[in-house]
Amino acid sequence: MRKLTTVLSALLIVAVVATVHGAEKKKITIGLVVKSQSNPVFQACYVGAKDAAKELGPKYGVEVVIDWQTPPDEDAQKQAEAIEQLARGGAQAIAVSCSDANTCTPAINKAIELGSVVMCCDSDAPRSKRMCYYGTDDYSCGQRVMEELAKVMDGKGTIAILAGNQTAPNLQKRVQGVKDELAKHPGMKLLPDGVFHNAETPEQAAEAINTAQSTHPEIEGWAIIGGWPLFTKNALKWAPGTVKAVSVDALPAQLGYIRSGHVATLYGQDCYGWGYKSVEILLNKLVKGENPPQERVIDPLTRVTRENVDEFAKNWDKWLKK
Amino acid sequence: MSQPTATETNAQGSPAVPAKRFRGLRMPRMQEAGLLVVILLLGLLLTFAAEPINVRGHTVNNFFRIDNIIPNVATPMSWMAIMAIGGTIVIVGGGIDISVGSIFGMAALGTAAVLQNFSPDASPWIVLPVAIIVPLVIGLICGLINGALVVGLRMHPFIVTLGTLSIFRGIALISVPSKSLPYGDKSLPDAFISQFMSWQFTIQRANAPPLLLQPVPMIVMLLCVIAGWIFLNHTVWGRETYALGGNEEASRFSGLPVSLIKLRVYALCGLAAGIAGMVSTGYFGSANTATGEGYELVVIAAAVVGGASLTGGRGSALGAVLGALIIKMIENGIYILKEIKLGVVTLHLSKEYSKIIIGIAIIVAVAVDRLSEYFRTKRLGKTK
Repeated sequence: MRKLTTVLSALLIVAVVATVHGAEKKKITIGLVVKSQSNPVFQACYVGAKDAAKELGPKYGVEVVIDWQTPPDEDAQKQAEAIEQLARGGAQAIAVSCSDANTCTPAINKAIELGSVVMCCDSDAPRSKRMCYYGTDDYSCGQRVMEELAKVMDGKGTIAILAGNQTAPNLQKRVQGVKDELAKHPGMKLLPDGVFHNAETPEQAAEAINTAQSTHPEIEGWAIIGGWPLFTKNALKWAPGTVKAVSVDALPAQLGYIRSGHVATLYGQDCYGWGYKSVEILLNKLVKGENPPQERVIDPLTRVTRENVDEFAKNWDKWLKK
Repeated sequence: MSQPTATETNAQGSPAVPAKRFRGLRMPRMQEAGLLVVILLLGLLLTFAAEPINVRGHTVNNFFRIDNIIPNVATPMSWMAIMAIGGTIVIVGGGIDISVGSIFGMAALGTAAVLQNFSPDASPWIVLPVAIIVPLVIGLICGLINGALVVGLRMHPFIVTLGTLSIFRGIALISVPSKSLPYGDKSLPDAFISQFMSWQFTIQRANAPPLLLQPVPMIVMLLCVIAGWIFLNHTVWGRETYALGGNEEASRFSGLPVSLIKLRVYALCGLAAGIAGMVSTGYFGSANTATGEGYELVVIAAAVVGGASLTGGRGSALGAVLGALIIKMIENGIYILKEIKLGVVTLHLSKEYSKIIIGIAIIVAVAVDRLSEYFRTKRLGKTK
C-alpha cells in the first residue's frame, strides 16, 4: 500500500510538473536591428531592450526574447536581410533603426506581409508600412540647442554651427531648427558662411571645429548639432568658457567636456529608450492590441549640465552594464 | 561541368588545345563533387544542430525549411555568386580584382540614379532596357579601366585594383550627394522592381504560413553560371584564359594575345559586378554609397573556396557559385544556431563570427589547393 501511495504521489508530482511546464508563458520574439554594434548608443539600446524584456515580460504575462540581429558595422543591405530572416524565422515583432531608409523599406514591408509587427526607432523609414517611429524630432532638437546657446551667451554674440554631413536629411532639419530659433534672438547672428560641415568621424570633426575657430576668432558660440568631435579627448582647443558651446548627444566620452567647462549643455538622446520603449510599444501592440498614441513618438531630449552630469553619468553605468 | 586546367594545356605544349586524356582533367570534377559533399555535410550539420522553432503556430526546423533555404540563403547569395563568377574568371587568368565591391556599388548607384527619373508606372519596354544597359555598361567600363591599367602600366593587379577600389568608391561618394537613391520622394519604377527583379509570388500552404518567393535574382544567377561555364569550357577565349593563368610566359611564346586576354578577363569581371549591381538594385529597390563595401572579401572567398587557384589556371563558374553557397550557408548557420554548446563552454555566435569563419575558409581553401598542387606535381614526376 505504501509503495502504491509512493508511486501515485510520484505520478501526481510528475503530472503537476508537466502541467506547469505545459502552461508555460507564451513566448514572444522581438528582433532588434539597429545601425551597428560598434556604436555605444546602440549598445545602450540593446541593454534597454533586454531590460524591458526582463521587466515587462512578467507584467504582460509573456516570455520576451530579444533577437539582436544588428550588423557589426553600418550596412543597410545586411539590415534588410536580417529583417527578412527575422520575419521568416517567426519573430512576432521587429524594431529597426535604418542605416538607409530606402534599402530597409522593402524589407520592412515584406516582414509586415509575413505577419511581423515592425516599428522604427532612432532612424525612421517614413515611406514604409511600419507601425510607428520612436526617436528624436530633429527640427525641435536644433531649436533646443540654439535656445540653450542663446541662454548661455546672454542673447548676444556671433555663432557658428558644426553641421556634420551636408546631405543627411536629419542634420539638415537640425540646422534649419537652429537657424529659425536664431532668428528669434536679435542680438545674435550667424557668422557669414558659418555652417561648417564635416565628415562624421571624431578626428575629422575635431579638426573642422578647430580650423574654423582659429580662422574665425570672432566666433563666440558653437551649436554642435551632433557630438562627433567630443568623442575625442581635448577636441576643443580653447580655454574653457571663452567660447560657449551646446551640443547634441551625451555619451560617456562627451560628459568630460561638461565637467571641464568647454561645453555648457549637452542634449542626450534616449538611446536606452530606443530599446526599452520600443519593446514596450511592441508588447502593447502584440499583447493588448493597442497602437501607440501617435505614429511618431518623440523622444524627450535630456538636458545635461554641470549640475546633473554626475547623476546622468550613472545612467550609462546601467545602460552599458558597467 | 569539368574544365581544362592550365597544367594539362602546358603539358601539351599548346595552351589553346586541351589534352583530353590527361589525368589532371579529373581534378576539377572531383573538386566540385567535393564541394557538393561539403554542402551536404554542412546542411546536415545545420539541420541537426538547429533547434525547432515556432513560426505562427507551426513547429519547424530552423534551418531545413523552404522559408529559410530559398529566401535567406539562395536569393541573397545571387549577387555574390554572380560577382564570384567574374572574380573566378580573373583568378583563372592569373590575376585578381579586389575592386569588385566598388564596381558593384557604382553600377547599383548608376542604375538607381537613372531610373529614379522615370515615373513609377513607366512602361517596362522603356524601363527594362535602361535598367539592364546602364549597370552593365558601368561595370564593363570599370572592368576595362582595370584591365587597361594592368596591361598598360604592367603593374600587379592587386595594386591596380586596390587603387581603383578607392577611386570607384570615391566617384560614387562624390556623384551622389544625397548618399542614398532614390532621392527624397522619388521611387524606382515598378516595371524594374516589383514587376521584375523583386517580383514575388505567394504559395498558400495548408499547414504553414504562406510562402513568399522572389525567384528572379536566382534565375539571373543561373543564367550567369551557364554563361560562365560556356565561356570557360567551350570557347577559345576561355581556353586562352586557363592557358594565361597557368603560365603567362608559355602563353606569350605560344603566340597568344596576352594583353588582350588580360583586358578581356577584367572587362568580364567588371561586367559581372555590373550585373550583380543591377540585381541588387532591383531586389532592394535602392542603392547607397556604402552598397557593396567589403564585398570583395566575400567574392574572393567564394571563388577560392569554390576551387579557383590564386596562382591562376584553375577554377570554374559552378565552383564559384558553390563557394558562394557555402559562405552563405555559414552566415545563415551563425544566424540559426546563435549558440554552440561545447561541453561546459557555451559559444555565443553573432554576425562577427562570419568574418572569422570566412577568413579561415580562405586559408583552408588555399592550403588545400597548395597541397593538391604538391601531390599533382609529385604524381607528374612519377609519370615522367
